[in-house]
Amino acid sequence: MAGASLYGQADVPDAPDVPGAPAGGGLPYGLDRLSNPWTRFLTRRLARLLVSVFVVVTATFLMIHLIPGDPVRAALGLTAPADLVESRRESLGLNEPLITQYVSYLGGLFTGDLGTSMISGTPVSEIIADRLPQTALLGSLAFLTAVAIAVPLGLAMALLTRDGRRRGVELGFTSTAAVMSAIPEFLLGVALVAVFAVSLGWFPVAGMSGASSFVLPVLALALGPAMALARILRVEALRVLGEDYVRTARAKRLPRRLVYRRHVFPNALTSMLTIGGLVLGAMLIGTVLVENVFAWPGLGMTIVESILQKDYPLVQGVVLVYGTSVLFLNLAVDVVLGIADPRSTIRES
Amino acid sequence: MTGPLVFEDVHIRFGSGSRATWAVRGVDLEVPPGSVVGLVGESGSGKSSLAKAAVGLVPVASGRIELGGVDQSGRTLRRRRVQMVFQDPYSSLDPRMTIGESISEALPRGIRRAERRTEVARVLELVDIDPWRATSLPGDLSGGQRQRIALARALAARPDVVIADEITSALDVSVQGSVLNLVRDIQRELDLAVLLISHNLAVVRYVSDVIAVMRSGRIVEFGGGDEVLERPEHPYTQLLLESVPRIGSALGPSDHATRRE
Repeated sequence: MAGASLYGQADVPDAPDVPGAPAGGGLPYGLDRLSNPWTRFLTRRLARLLVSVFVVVTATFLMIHLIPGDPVRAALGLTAPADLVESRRESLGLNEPLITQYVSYLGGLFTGDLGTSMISGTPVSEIIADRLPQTALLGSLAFLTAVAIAVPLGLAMALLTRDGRRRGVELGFTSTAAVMSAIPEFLLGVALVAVFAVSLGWFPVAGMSGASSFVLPVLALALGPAMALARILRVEALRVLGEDYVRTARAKRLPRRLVYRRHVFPNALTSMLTIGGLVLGAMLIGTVLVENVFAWPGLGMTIVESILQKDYPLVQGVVLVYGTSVLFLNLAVDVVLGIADPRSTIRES
Repeated sequence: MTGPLVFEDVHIRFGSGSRATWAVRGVDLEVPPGSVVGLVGESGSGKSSLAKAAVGLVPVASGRIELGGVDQSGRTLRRRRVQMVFQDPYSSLDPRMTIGESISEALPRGIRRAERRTEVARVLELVDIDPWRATSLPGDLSGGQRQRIALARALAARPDVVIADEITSALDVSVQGSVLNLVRDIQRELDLAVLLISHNLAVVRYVSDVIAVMRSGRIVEFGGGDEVLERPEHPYTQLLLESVPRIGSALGPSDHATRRE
């Protein structure tokens, strides 16, 4: 073939490592580090996180002061002696000016001091350290379960129902997913207990006692979000399947599995990841109700107990942990999203 | 070169039963090695369906599409001798993949990583794109550059035939010429066979050796560029030529009607 030499070997310069810039450029004195999209992306994200954490900390501090009446009187009861109330107010620092209390609260946070429980007298940080691992484990397992269900289900449904095929399957899936994702997790938890623990006796009714005790609370937390994610992923995958670059890949006669693996799945999952972050945050909050249904010894149980007992320092501490956890989860999702889809880091930076 | 790309009595149908629509009805066409065949026709005439069938994107209801005796209409081919460049340069590249990754994907299998890098750089140079652009994402490039990348990706597969489906229609006029020149130059350098699809007669005439005119799924006229466009025999070709707007010419009644709408 004439001109075939163009397909032969030739000396071509290597591509530089920095995307979008020719080799040899760059800023002096280390300023080129800031020109790295990742550095700019992380700097901006961390700054945003700091502002958000500050807002959460301030809100939780103000919480105790915005409660109508005297929180100490509310906690100790109307019949509690006035001198006891006064001494407790003194020990909690509630008689100090608001700004002094705020500075003292911030200082305590930096040293890990979240105050002392008004009921038990135990440091709040100790109670949280004791309960947090159970909640983190429950939330993580539920999230992994939700993803493990949603990803294959959503993608399989997209492939089965693309181009208007299998209308019956599509209707069955979307209806089931809509119903499942609309059921509140505590209601689903009660239903699961009634069927699988009380009637069938397959799993423990409540408490944390061995691997089998995880099944029902994890399912109660995961099923709704899993179906919601699967629906979103199906729609996303259908959109990507119709994209021109997928058609181009097929025209190149790439094996079908490669078309799905390289083009369809990553592009569909990128969108799902953003929503997945929100779901994970919501799932963490969902542990509050599910832990109470299953008497799970975690933070969710603790916050409800402390609210009922009007143990405000404990409520304050747990709310702070939940709030900052959601913020850090969002940051983690953004970083993962940046790795999965470099465009997001470039856009953000 | 493995021989001409041959379309023989090709029929393409969309839908089935009473809802079936015949997009292509018995097309016979040959794209000889080293030549450019222009395929013109109005929207919906079946040009793109014919092209998609040649790369296995659309099933052929009956007839054959062969290159060197090998059927090209199936999806199971390993060697990709017919490559296609699509109309929209903005959406035909995966936005997550770098330019280098997109081109590398099209390279024949069995090439080592280091060689792939060299190949990618060379193909980029072939389409007048700096090789350092291999690490760029499609979003960093203009429409004209993306269409060059799409062409580079097609060339990376070392094809015998390139089908260019309306490759300039999504580009602004100032870029169209440079892309067409590039196609023409590469075709001559690599002695490729090209099937150039367009509804723009000027584009087809500029590049093609022979022109086929398609209407309602059939080829109604075929011949040399000058022959077809200067002495058209079929009434549809004559109508197509009369419909070409000319600067300074008065608008016909139908144009006025369109404007009022």
